[in-house]
Amino acid sequence: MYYIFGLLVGGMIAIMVSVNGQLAVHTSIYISASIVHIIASLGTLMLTLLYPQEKEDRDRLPIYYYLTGVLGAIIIVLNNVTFKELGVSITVALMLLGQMIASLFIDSYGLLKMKRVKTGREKAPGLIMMVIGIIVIMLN
Amino acid sequence: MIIVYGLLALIAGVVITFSSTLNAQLGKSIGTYKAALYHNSVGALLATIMAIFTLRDLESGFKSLEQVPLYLYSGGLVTVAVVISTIRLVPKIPIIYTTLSVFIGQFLVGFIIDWYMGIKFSIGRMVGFLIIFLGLALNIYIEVQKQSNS
Repeated sequence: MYYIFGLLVGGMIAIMVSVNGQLAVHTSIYISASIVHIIASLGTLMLTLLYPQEKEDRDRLPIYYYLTGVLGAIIIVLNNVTFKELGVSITVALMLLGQMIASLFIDSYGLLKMKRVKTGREKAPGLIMMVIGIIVIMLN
Repeated sequence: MIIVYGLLALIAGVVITFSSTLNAQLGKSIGTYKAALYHNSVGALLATIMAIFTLRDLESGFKSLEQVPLYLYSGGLVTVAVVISTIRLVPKIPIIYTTLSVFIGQFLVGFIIDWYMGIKFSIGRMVGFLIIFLGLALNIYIEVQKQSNS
């Protein structure tokens, strides 16, 4: 049951990439990013009101933890630029590859308060396979 | 040119990981929904400022807002749905299946949308998908093995 749920989440991500990209084609890269974030803000505002999670800020995280929205805007702008040229499948595949590379980087240097995990070589074959798969899709 | 766009998509993936790692930690501290609210409202502010700075697009952009099909505005709501679903999903099934089922869903729907927009589906694309899937599964398997050992 929950696996179907997982498929749906994945489907939603693909729809999101495509819908946001198309909105950018109709308007502009920045206007669409702005609209997407405003609507998402209203949605999450509703969520915080509906499901208040009473938690005090135990760790007092540094200010940049509150500013990830800057990265969010960058992601949507990049998404909107690439979607038009590459289509959904390839955009999604490359984003995934980027995520894996970044996780590897964060883990092996213990960045962002994450525990340092020695990784590396044993993950190279998997990453290379992903690159080959993406090239195969791009050529077809 | 396609390499430049490919690189940009890759960078987007890198940024996604940094953003979601920070956001997950903030979520643990102040609650997931509140963290998502901070994330989206700061993003909204920045994107709006950028939109205003690129005023030339803005005029024509706003003119076309009325002609845009309504469903194209759903991206922000889908984002919210993804946030809720992920929170509900992640504790329920092992992370390897979460990642893989989300991945399969992305590609199935991605292929359908691409096909709908005129990019033909082919055996070659399916083969590419399978190779990526195996590479991803292999690395997640290694990850899980390592975590259960430590």
